[in-house]
Amino acid sequence: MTRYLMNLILALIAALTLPVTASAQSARLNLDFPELAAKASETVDVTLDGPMLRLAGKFLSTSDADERAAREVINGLSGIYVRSYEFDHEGEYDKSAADRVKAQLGPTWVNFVKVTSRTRNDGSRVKEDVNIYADTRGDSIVGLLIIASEPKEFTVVNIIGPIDIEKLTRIEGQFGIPHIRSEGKLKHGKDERHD
Amino acid sequence: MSAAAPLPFPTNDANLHRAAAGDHDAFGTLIRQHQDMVFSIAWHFLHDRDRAEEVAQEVFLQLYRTLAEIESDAHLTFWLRRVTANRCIDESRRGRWRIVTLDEVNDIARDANDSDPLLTRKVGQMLQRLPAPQRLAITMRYQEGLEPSEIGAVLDMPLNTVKSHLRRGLAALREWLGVTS
Amino acid sequence: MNFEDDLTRALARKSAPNGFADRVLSRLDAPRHRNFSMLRRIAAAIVLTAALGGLTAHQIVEHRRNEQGERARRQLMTALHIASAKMRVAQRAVVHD
Repeated sequence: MTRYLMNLILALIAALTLPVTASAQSARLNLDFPELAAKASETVDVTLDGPMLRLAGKFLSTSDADERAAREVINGLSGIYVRSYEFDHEGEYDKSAADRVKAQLGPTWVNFVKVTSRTRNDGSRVKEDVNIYADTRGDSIVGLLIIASEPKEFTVVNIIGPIDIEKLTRIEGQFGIPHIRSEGKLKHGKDERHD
Repeated sequence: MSAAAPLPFPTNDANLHRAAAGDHDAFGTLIRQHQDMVFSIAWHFLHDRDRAEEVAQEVFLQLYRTLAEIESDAHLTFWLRRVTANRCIDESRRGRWRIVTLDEVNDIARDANDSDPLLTRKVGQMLQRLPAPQRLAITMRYQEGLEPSEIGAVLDMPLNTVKSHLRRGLAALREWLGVTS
Repeated sequence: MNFEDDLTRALARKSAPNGFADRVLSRLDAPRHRNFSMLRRIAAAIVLTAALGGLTAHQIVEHRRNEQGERARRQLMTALHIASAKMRVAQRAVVHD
C-alpha cells in the first residue's frame, strides 16, 4: 500500500523538469486563519521551527515506537506547522480557506494526491477532501502540504524540509487533540461550559 | 447509558464530619467507600497497578488534609474524581505512560466480575494510545457513567470539548479494535 | 454486540488492592520528622543554602528547559499524528480507487 504511494511520488518527481529559480520561495506558507480560530470550538495550533524541532527531538523517547519513528521523520526538517479547527456545525467555516492556502503555492508544488470522499472503517461515509502537495526541487521533496476539509473540521499541515512520507505514514498514534490545559497555544472560539 | 457502579455503603455525611474532626476510623470508612472508584480511574489511565495505587494513596492523603472543605458526600465524590484525574495527568507528565504493562494475569484473577478478560485487556491497551483528555473522558463516561456535562464539570472542560474528546476517542478505539457498525 | 456496552464492561471499576485503606491510614500516622530543635533547623538551613547557592540558578534554567522541551515534544507528536492520519486517509483512497 505504502509502496504504491511512494512509487507514485517518485514517478511524479522524476517527470518534473521545473527549473529552480534564484528567488525560489521557502516551502513555508502563511497559515494564519484568525477568523477560523474565532469560530472553532476547538483549535490545534502547532508551530515548530528549526530550533524547537531540535529541542523536541532531544526529548523523544527511545522506548516508544511512535517517538522513535518521529525522531527519524524530523531528521533534517526545518519546520512543522499545523492548524486544525473543529466546529460545532456543518457550514460554519469558509471553504475558501483552502483556496487561500493553495494560492500561495508556486510552480514547484505538485498536487500528487487528491481525495474527495471516503468511507470510514465502520462503514459510515464522511465527506472529506484531502489534498497533498509536495514542493519539489530537482529530485528532492523540500516541503509538504496537507489540506484536509471535512464538514466540521479544517486541517492544514505544512512541513518544511526533506520529508520521508513513508516513515511519516507509519506513525500511528491517535486522531485526537492534545491536552488542552497544558498547551497554551490552544484557543477556543467559544467559551461555553454547559449547554 | 448505564448508571455508575452503586456504592457498597450508604452515603453518610455524618461520617464525613467525623472524619473532618479527626476520627481516623471514620476516615478509614470514607476510604473504603471510595477506594475502588479512585483506584480504577487511576488504573484505567495509567494501566500500571503500582502507579495507580500510588496515585490513589496520594489522593486520599490530600483528601485528609482538605477534609474541612468537603461539604457533603456528593461533593466528596466530585472532589475525588477531579483530584484523581488531575493527579493522573501529573503522573503521566512525570513519566511517559504510553507503555502498556503486560502484568494482567493477576488483574484478571483478581476481578471475578471480569467476564471477558481478553476484551478488558485489549480495551485497556488501546486506551493507553489515546491522549490523556480522551482517556479520562472515556473513563468517566464508561466507568463512572457520567453524562458529558458532568464530565465537563469534573475535568473542568467546556461541554463541547468533552463531546469532542468522546467522539474522537471512541472513533479511534473502534478503528483499533476493528469494530464495524 | 454493542460496542458501548463492551466498553462499559471493560471499564468496570476494579477492586483496590487488598489492604489499601490500611496503608493510607498508616501514612497518616507516620512520624513527620518534626523533631528538630530550632538550632538544628537553623544549622541545617545554613548548610543547605551554602551548598545550593551556586546551583540554584542552573537548576532553574535546567527545569525551564526541560519544561520547554517536553512541551515541544508533545506538540511535535500531535503534529505528526495529525499529519500521519491525513496521509493514511489518502493512502486508503488510493488503494481503493
